[in-house]
Amino acid sequence: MKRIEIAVILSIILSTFSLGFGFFMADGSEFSILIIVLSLFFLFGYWFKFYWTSHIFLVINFVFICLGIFISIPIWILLITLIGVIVYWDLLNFTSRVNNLKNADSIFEIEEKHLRRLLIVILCMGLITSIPLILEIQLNFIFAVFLSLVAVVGLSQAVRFYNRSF
Amino acid sequence: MRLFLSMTLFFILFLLGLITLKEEFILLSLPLAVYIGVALISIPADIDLKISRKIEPSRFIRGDQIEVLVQIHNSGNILREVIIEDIIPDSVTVVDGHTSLIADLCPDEHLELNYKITGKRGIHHFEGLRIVSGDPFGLFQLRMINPIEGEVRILPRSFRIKSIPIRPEVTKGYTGFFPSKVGGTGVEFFNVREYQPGDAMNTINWSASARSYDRLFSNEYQMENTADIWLILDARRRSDFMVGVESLFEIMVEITTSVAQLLIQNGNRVGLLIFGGFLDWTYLGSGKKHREKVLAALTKAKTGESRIFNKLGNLPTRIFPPRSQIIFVSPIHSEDYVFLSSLRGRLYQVLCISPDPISFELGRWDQEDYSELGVRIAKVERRFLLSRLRYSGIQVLNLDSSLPIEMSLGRFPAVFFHRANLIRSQI
Repeated sequence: MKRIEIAVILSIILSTFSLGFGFFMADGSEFSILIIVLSLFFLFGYWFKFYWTSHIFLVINFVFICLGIFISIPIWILLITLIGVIVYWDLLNFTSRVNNLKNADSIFEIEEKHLRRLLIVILCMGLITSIPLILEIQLNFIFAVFLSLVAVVGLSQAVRFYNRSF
Repeated sequence: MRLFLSMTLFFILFLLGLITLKEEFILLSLPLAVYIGVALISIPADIDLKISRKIEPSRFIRGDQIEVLVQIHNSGNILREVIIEDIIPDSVTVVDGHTSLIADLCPDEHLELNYKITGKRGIHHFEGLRIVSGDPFGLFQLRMINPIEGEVRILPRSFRIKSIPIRPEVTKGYTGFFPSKVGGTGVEFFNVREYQPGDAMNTINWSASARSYDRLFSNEYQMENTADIWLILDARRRSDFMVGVESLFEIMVEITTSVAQLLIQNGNRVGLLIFGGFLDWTYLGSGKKHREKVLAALTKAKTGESRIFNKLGNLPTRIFPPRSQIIFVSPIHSEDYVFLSSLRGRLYQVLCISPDPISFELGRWDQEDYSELGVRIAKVERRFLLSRLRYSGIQVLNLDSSLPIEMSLGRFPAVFFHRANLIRSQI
């Protein structure tokens, strides 16, 4: 089994069990079963190379995560789920990009590099999200307005950058 | 799609956080923000790749393999997980090596794609290289085609034929291989005439001279000259019988190539007419350059359908010199009989080289796919058609297409003599 396959399976297991566990803790065991069944479906989707299922997986898990916030599932569980989902989504995209290549040269090296990059991104995600978790920042109106301004400026810069580059 | 989805999810979480004033939503939007941010940072500022493709040799014979080398040099910034794919024509098959790669390209780094191809007969164009570059997570991707064109000519195979024992009535002045019915230097005995000063000693016919009182006689030999020969290749779609990927038309093209090569090599002037969807003329000529022209025409020969040329009777025959030799390569349909016999009636000498479509299909089908009775009827029909042509004075060579072409062409002269003798005995 290739390392990329192991990473995909680990990511789906991580996201499924953390979300399932979260819902189980919040007395939503029927949701937990549904999440596990859906994950099995997406695992089969990966097995049969239906890479487009990763988008559905992302959206469904996103809905469950939002629901989890409202039923007060611990935030660290939802964070683990979200990171697992992003990793799964990314790895399936990478696999589909590589598989779409006809007669490609050795991809072993690039697989390793991609996994390494993804690991760095995961660490960054963990680091950046852990800071507000530790500091226990409370969201008030002023802070929300400030974040909105930052988001608007960031978005406009991203759009400008995108238009200039492509 | 990926960028849109990730941005949408990020803003939904962010807006939900602002609306509900729940910091959990903002917190959960951070991993997505990191993911998008890292992707944004990784976008290369510019893509400056210098690419070259070497195809050597650019023309080769069907069945052979050639090597293609694509060299890529990065003169710009680092490119992460760049995809470079050589767009191969559909009719070409890669037998060894790789046509695409995904790699990180550092500045001034050099990469190569090296592969071997083979393919079907024809002229194949390489469009260029597909390059996909952007961030390593596939959010921001730039797709472009680097238009490095290339061309490969896959020539039809040709096989060695010892001789084509045709005897054109009209020959040209140059020394060749066809007996010209004129006395002169040659190999075949032609006549005995009175000795003339300058005749070589070995030409004196001593037995004839001994019968005479005071005269010497010498042998005269038949001059052997070149001739004008037209090759007609039947490229009508209905003349192409296909079983799987194998095509009878390919066999016909290879026969025509082999015959043309031999005739041109022997110094004859050869013309080629390919008729199917349209008429493709290669006018009479000789020499190496002309051989290349004929080869080029046969390389790009394709079957086609035309209302006009579906009937052989509509072919313009005035271009053929009077009484010239015509070699017609076709599986022959029953309607073709009228045209071929009319050619013979106009004193053209016609040789039909006909690869047998029945043996072609039988050799490639399973026994359960056809009925014995049907095969027998088809064989009887074909035998009847060929014997009608022979009775019209047309020489017919029925090639067994179930055999490999080199084998059936190897039997060419022997079979031909047998058939020629048969014609004489029948007439």
